[in-house]
Parts: sequence; C-alpha cells; structure tokens
Amino acid sequence: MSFAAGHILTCLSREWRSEWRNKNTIAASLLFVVATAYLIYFSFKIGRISVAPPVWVSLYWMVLLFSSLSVMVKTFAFEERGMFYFSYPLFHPMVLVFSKWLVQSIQLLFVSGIALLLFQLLLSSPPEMNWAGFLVIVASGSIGFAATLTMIAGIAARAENSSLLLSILSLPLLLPQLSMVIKGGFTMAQGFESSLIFDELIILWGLNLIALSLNLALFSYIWRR
Amino acid sequence: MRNFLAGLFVILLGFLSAGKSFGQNSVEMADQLRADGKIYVVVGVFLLISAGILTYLIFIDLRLKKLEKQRSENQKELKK
Amino acid sequence: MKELASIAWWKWACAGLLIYTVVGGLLLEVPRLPILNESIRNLYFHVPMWFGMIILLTVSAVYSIRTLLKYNPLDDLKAQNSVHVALLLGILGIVTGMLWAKYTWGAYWSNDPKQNAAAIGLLIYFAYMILRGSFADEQLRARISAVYNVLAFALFIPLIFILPRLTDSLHPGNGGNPGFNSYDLDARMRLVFYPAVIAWTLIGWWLVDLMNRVHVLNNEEVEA
Repeated sequence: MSFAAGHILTCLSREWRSEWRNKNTIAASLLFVVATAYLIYFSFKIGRISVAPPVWVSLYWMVLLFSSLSVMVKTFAFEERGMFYFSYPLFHPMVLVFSKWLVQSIQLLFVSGIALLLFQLLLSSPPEMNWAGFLVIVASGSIGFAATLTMIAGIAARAENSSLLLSILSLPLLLPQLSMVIKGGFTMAQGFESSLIFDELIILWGLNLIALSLNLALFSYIWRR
Repeated sequence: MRNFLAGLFVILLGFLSAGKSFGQNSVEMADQLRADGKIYVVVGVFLLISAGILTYLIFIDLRLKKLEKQRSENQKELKK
Repeated sequence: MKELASIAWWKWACAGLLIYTVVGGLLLEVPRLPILNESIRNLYFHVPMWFGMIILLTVSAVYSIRTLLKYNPLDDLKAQNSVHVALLLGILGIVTGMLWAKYTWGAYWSNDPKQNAAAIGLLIYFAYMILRGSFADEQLRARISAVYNVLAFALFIPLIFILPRLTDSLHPGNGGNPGFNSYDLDARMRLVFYPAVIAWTLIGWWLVDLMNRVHVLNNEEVEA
C-alpha cells in the first residue's frame, strides 16, 4: 500500500487491460456516437437547415455528454461482481482511483476526437473556428467529465438500478463544467483569439481539480466493505 | 417576562408611528392603504396566520416530547 | 406552562423574529423605487427562502462529512432531513420568485442566473433523494449518499458564482458578484432583512428537528 510510481504503473496497466478486454463497451460507445451524429445530420437535412456555429457547438457537447455517460455505465461492471475486492487490498485506494481516472480520460479523449471528426464530416464546422483553442477546451472538458463521472459511476454502482441513477446523478452535477466548455466553445466558434477563453479554462480546471481531489479523498468511502 | 413584554410593546408602538411618516417622492406606493389604516388589517391577517402556524409547530413539538418521554420510560421498564 | 418552558430557547427566538419580520416587513419604511413599488417588501419573504436553503444545505454537508468520519445513524438522519427542508424552502423560493418576476420583469422565467442556480440546485438535491431511495442496507446508504452530498455541495457552490458570468442578472447587485453585500439594501431594509433570514432559517431548522424526532421515534434501532 504505497504511492510508489511502480504501483501506479501496475495498477494503470491492469485497468487498461481490463478495459481493453472489454472491447464491446468501447465499441458500443463509438456506435452510439456515430449513430447520434448521423441522426443529427439526417434531421437537419430533412428541414434543409444549415447548422449555425452556436448550434454546432451545443450539439457537439450534447453528443459528447451522452456518449461519456455511455462510456461510464460499464466502468464499475467488474467491480460489482467482486473483482474489485480482489485488487482492493493490493493497491492504495488513491492509486486505484487515479489510474481509473487516467484510463477513463484517455477513453473520453478518444471518443471526443471521433465525435469531432464525425461532426466535421457530416455537419460542416463553423468556418471561422479557432481550432487550437477549441481542441484545448475539448481536451480539458473530456478530462474533467472523466473526473466527475468516475466518482458518480462509483456511487451509482453501489446502489440498485445503477444505469438509470448514473444519468440522474450526473446530468445536473456536470452542468458547471458543461456551461464553461459551451461558453468557451462559442467564443472559439466565432473565431476569436485563444486568449479570450483564459477565464473559462481557469474555472473549468478549478472544477476539474475539485472533482478529482474529492474523488481521491472519498473513493475509499465508496468501496469500503 | 414582564420587562420583555413591555419592551415588545414599545417596539410595536415605534412601528405604528413609523408607518405614518413617508418621504416625499413621486414613486407610487400604497400610501392610501396606509392613510386609511387598512394596512393594519393586512398586518393582522399575516400575524394571525403566522401565529397559528407557530402555535401548531409548538403543539407538535410538545406532542413529540410526550412521546419521547413515554418511550424512554418504556425502555427503562424493559431493562428492569 | 411548565411544558412550554421546556421548549428550546431558539424556538421562541424564531417565533419572535418571525412575528417581527411580518410586522416590520409590512409597516417599516422602504425605499420608493419605480417598477418595484410596494412589492419591494417581498424581499423579506422571498429572498430568505434562498438563504435558508443554502444554509440548510451547508448544515447537511457538515453532517454528511461527520457521517463519513464516524458512522452515526443520527447524523445521517440530520443530513437527509436538512436536504428535505432545504428542498421545501427552495421550491417555495423558486415559485415566489417566479410570481414576483412576472410582475417586475414581465415573465415567469427569464434565464436569470439566480433562477437557473435555484433550478439546478433543486435537480441536484432531488437526485440526492432518489439516490437515498435506492439502497437496501442502511449503513451503505448513509455512506454513499454522504459521498454524493459532499460532491454535490462542492460543485453547487461554485456554480452559484459561475452562472452570473454567463448571462446578465436581473437581480440587484449583478455584475458577476452574487455575494451577500450585493443586495443593495439600504440601512432601513437591513433592519428587517437580516432578522427575516434568521427567522426563516430557524423555522426550517425547527422542521428538520421535528422530522428527526419523528424518525427516531419511528425507528427502534436508532438510539437518540
């Protein structure tokens, strides 16, 4: 039970392998992203409406929000079946939750990248878009979503009816982070300079840190027997 | 207790006089309502309702106290 | 009479402050402002709902932290009932706010940051009640819902400060600072407003106290 870097690496690789073994989950989330993006494309084509930049940004974040939920539903699926109690004594709880958060961040970054590509492909992106700034926001948002959602997924996994609970609990709690990424996204979609989203990024990372530190502090309370 | 009530009465008197002095300002307020003294009817209704709710709260509080007492006595008997 | 003396002093203080709020709120002088006119007196009854809600939520978060540090069913009960009553105050606040808004801003709902914060707060804490309902084991419920309560509080409070940055507020004292002093009250109004906040918060805490005691009486396992 120590904080040694070796422990983090072992734990990280264990998490990674367990996610990778469960390819079905990530495939399902990707399918979810593709289907939603296509649905949006289709419904806008029916009305022959072109997607204005703010609408594009809002839609993108909505799709990403729900895809994140679909990624997170299965996060603690193994743990429910007692796998967690096996590894719990091996690692410090902080090491466990930290690696869990890292792996989920990577997954969400991957999903958000795919979603961005699809949106670019199907719904032509805002012409003025400041891409560097927008990508920074997307990355920060995905990492923050991963922090909040890892914690809520753990809470929901301990309760009955957990897949429904996950969305009920997380949608209002993600709102502070969501409002920051959407605000910053609007600014970038209108082609302003990257320095204009400095405030939003500071607040967003403040919220991310709150979520992450509570995650580290309270994780052992969720899983203690 | 008597001093407390006397103090309360003084404060209330202060309110009655304060209600009548208004500054000269063009913004329309319910001045006529006050001049007629009908505002005291509204105050009366508010007072009665809040007094009623407070009395009810106190009543529930006392009821609970009685039940709590009964329960602790029951438990003492059980221990014997 | 002897029984009446057994009622805690703060309950009597609460009763006195509420009576003072009603009488002072209706009779003492208020600034003469256009549009608001006499309805400015709603400040003594509508705004304390929001303050009371936040104070009770803070109390609840404190009890949740205590539950996590050392499990005590009574602390968990207090955390739950504080959220219950905070939700009651929140609903009353949001409904009275909508009514007041209709006649001063022209619409029941106008994307005002404080209205949004109240609505999101209600959503977050309704979810807390749902979460509490989905456990069979009492101790697990206490622990997990305490974790959620701490997280919810830690994200809700920053939200209150974030929202005014997104849209302009119609509430007084806007411009990014939703703090206590921003209600540009004049001295006359403070004389009633602060006692009103204390009075309504104490009424809320009184209700929490009653509900705690009913639960304790109802449940033989919980020892008072």
